[in-house]
Amino acid sequence: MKKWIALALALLLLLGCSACKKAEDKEVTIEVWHPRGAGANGEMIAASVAEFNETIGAEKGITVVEVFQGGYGEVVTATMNAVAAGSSPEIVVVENSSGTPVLSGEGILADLTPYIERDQWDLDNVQSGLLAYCYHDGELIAMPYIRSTPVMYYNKTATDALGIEIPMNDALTIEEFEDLCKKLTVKNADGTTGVYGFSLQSNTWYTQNFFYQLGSNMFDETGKSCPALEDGAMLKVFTAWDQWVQDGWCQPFVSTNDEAYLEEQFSLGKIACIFDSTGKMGNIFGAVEELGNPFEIGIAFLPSFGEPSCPTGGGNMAIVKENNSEAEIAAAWEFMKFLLTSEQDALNHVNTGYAPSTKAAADAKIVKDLWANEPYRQVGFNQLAYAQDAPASDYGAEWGVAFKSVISSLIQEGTVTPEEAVERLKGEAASIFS
Amino acid sequence: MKEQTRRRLRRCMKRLPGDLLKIAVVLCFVFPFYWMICTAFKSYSEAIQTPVTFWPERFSMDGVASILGARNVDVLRYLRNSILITAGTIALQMLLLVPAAYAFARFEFFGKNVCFALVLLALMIPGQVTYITVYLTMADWNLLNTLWPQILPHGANAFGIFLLRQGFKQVPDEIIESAQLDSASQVQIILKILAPMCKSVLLTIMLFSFVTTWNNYFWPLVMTNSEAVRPLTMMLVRVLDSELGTRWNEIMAANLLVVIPVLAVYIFTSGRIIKAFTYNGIK
Repeated sequence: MKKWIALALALLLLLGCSACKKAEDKEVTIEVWHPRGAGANGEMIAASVAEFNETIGAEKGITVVEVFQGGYGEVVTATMNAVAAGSSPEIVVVENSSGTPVLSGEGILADLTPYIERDQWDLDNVQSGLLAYCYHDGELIAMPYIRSTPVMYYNKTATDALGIEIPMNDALTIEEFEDLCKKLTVKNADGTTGVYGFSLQSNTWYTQNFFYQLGSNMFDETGKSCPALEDGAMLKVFTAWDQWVQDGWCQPFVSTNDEAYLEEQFSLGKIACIFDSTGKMGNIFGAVEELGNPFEIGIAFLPSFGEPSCPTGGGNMAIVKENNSEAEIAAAWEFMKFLLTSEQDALNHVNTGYAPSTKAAADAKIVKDLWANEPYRQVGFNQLAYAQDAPASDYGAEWGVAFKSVISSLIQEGTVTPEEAVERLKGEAASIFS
Repeated sequence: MKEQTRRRLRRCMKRLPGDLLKIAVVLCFVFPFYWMICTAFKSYSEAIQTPVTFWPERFSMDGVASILGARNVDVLRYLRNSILITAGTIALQMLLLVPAAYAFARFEFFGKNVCFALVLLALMIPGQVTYITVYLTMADWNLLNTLWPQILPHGANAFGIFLLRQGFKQVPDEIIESAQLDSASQVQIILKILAPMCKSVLLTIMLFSFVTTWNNYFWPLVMTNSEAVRPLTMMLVRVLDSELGTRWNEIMAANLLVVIPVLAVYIFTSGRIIKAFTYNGIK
C-alpha cells in the first residue's frame, strides 16, 4: 500500500513538471538568448529587460524574456539547434567575429535596414568601428551590443614611483613598452622574479593585433591563408615575444585559464602590465580593492609595432527571422532600439566596462561624470578610433588550436626557436587551409 | 614476547605497501572535495594567492553569500527543478525496469534474447549520439520548455534492468512457486516478494540514477532553452561566466551546493550498495 502511495506521489510530481511552461503569452513574447551570466553582466540585462517590459513593452504589448545560454559558442549552438527544430529565439547575442558570420552565413538573420528606414533611426549614431561584422551581403544583420576592446592595464603606483608617465590617448612604441616593463620588473635577493613587468595571454586577439600593426594579418580576405606567415610579421612578433621571456621580464603564459591567472597575478601586484578586455575592468578594479593591498591602476592604449590599433570583440545582437513572424521580428526591433538608446548604452558601459556602442552614449551625463572622475575609463572608447577586425575564417578554430600549440612550444617550453615555430605553422597551414 | 613482537612487525611490514597505496588512492579521490570545501569558504584574495593555503586563514562566507544572494540566479528554482527531474526520472525508471527485469529473469518468451541484447546494446551506445534526434523529437512534441526532455529520454535504465535481473534470478524458485500456489498475482509477486528481497539492488540502482541525473550537465544544456526548467548544474554555467572574471570562491561555493545532496544520499545508502554488490548467498 505504502509503495502505491509512493508511486502515486511520484506520478503527481511528474504531472507537476508539465506546469513548467514558457511565460504566458501576452500579445507578443520574444526571447533574448545571451551569454551574460552572473554578477554585473547578468544583472545589467535583467534590469534592461525589466525596464523595457514596464515601459515600452507594456505600451506596445511586448514581453521580453531573457535566457542565459552559456558562452558565446553555446548561444550559437543553441540557436542553430532551435532553428532546426522550428522554434527560434527572436534576438541572439553572439560573438562579433566568430558568431555573427556563422549565423549570417546560414541566412537566418533579419535585415534591419527596412526597420531603420521605416523609423528613420539614426544609424550614424552607432560607432562605425564596431560595425565590421554587422553587415552580410550588403544587409545590416546585427548591431553592436556588449563590445569590448583590449587595453593595457598597468600598476600606476609603480610607474609613478619611477617617475614614468604613460599617455592615455596614444600608444607606446614597442621599444618604449619594453623599456617600461624592464623598469617595472623586480628581482628578489635570491634571483627569482618578485614582480614581472609583463605577461602576454595565448589569446590570438593580441598577436593578430601585432600582425596588423606590422601591415599584415592573421587571415587574408578569403580566410584561407595566413599572410603573417609569409611576410615576416609573425617571425618578428615571435622573435620579440621570445626575447621578452628570455630577458626575464615577461612571464610565460600558463597552460589553463591563462586569462584568469593573469588577472589574479596583476591584482596581487605580481605582474605590472597586462593586456585585457575593457569588459574586465570592473572585476580587475574590484579585485585589487578587495585584496586589501590596493595600488592605483592605470589604463593605456595597447603598445604598437607601428601605428596604434586595437582588435574588437564581444557580442553583437541580431534578430533571427527564421521561424519568427513579422510581429515578433518587429517586437524584437523595438527591444533592440531600446538597448541602443543613450541611457541604456551608457548604463551598460558604466556598470560593466563594455564600450559604448553609440556616440550619443558617450555624451550621456553618467558617462561624462564617470570619465571626469575616472579618466582611464575613457581610454578604451578613445582607442576605438583605431579599431580593426581580423577577417573571419572557416578554419579559425582549427588554426587557433595549431597556433596555440606552437606558441606553447615557443614561449612555455622554449623547445623551438621563433624560426622553427614559423616553419611549424607553415606546415600546419598547408594541411588546415587546403 | 620478543618473538610475538617480531611476528607482529613482520605482518605490519607485509601490509604496509598495500596500505600506503590505499591511502594514496583515497587521498586522490578525497582531495578535490577537500579543496572545493576549503576554497568555498575562503575570501577571493585568499583563493587566488600563492603559495596556496590548505586551510582558510579566515573563514569567509563571501562565496556562498554571492551565490545565494545573486539577483539573477534563482537558486531555489534550480534546486526545485533538480529535485523534480531526479525524482521523476527515478520514478519512471522504477515503473519500467522492475517489470522488465522480472520478465527477463523469470519468463521464457519469443524474442527474449533479442530483447535482452537490445538492452545490452543500449548500455554501449553513448548518449551523445542521440542528442540531436531526441532534441528534434522533443521540439516536435512541443516539450522543449518543460522538464520532460530531461526525464523521458532517461526513463529506461539498461544498467538497472541488467542488475535487477541478476538480483531477481538469485531469488529461489521455491519462494515464487509457493506464492503462486497461494494465488499471488504477478504484480503481488513483484511487489511483495521480489522487490523486498532485492531492496539493496533497487536502492543501488536508484542511487546511481540519482547521481547520474543530479550531476547531468550536458543533457540539460542541449535540451533546455529556458531558465525556468534548468537544473542546479546549469547554475554553475551561469556562475562560471568569465566575461567579467573568474571568482574561484564563488565557483566552489556553487559546486558545493550541487554536491551536498549527492554526498548526503550516498552517506545514508553506502552500506546497502556494498551489500548489493557483495551478496552471493541464499536469501
